[in-house]
Amino acid sequence: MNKNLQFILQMLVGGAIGFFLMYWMLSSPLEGIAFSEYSVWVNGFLLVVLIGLLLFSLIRYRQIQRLLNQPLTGDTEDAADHQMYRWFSDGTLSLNLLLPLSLVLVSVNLVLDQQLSLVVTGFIVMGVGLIGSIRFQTLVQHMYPERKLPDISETDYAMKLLAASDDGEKHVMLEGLYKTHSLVNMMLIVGIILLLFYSLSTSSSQLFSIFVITSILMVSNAKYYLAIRNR
Amino acid sequence: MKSKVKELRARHGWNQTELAKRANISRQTVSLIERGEFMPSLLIATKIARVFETTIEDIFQFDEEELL
Repeated sequence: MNKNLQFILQMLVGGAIGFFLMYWMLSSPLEGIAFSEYSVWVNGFLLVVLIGLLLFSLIRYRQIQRLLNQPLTGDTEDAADHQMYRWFSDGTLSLNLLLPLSLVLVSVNLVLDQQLSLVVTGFIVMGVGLIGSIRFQTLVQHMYPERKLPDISETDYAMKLLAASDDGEKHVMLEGLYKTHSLVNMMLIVGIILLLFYSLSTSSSQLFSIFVITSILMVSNAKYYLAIRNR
Repeated sequence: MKSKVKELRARHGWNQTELAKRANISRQTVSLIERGEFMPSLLIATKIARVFETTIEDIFQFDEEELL
């Protein structure tokens, strides 16, 4: 299908969904989501996901270690390196998801349930996630012993790691980051619109959240465009 | 851009990891170049050419349209 036609169709479908959603919300005011009624389910779901992510990252860590101990040569060595890189990304992603999700667990229990045990669990998971991230970063040294990679204890570790990456790796990171930047921009705008609908259709004002998200959007865009403008 | 990296590597009997070590670049970069998904910088092209003891022009060739 012609790309322009596809774009116009997507706009029309999006516009129609938006119109009916707005019409439905404004014509039948909601009472807002009573999160306290679902807190048991929310807590249960969060705990299952957090444990799952921890186990998954541990499995990936062990798989990488096992592969590192195998003497490989030829194309098998290349395939193993490719596989290790994928497992490393999986493990790092799981650990990166732990922080926001454990923060949600802490927030839900501080705001709604006041269950101290789950607040403590949230902080413990955060700590375990942090230790896991450090272990994964240390693993890179074993994966690429011939490369001069910075030690995790060094100051400006992230910047030094970026500097140690070659142009091919930077090319892959740039592609990923550019797509992420565009996606985050779009998703935050959608988030603001959802909060606006929620505020309008319930008696619960979400203006504070809208201000916070707008500030994040402004700072992240200003940071990006000032960085490329001043080069 | 066409590259002879894979062909030269096979001729030397090296895998991607071996070439990456010799050229002091990452295996991921070697793989990206061989798949035509990344045009190497002058520095990386020079490193690869030096490892194969040849010139950059011999390894990386552009179509005429790309140079216009």
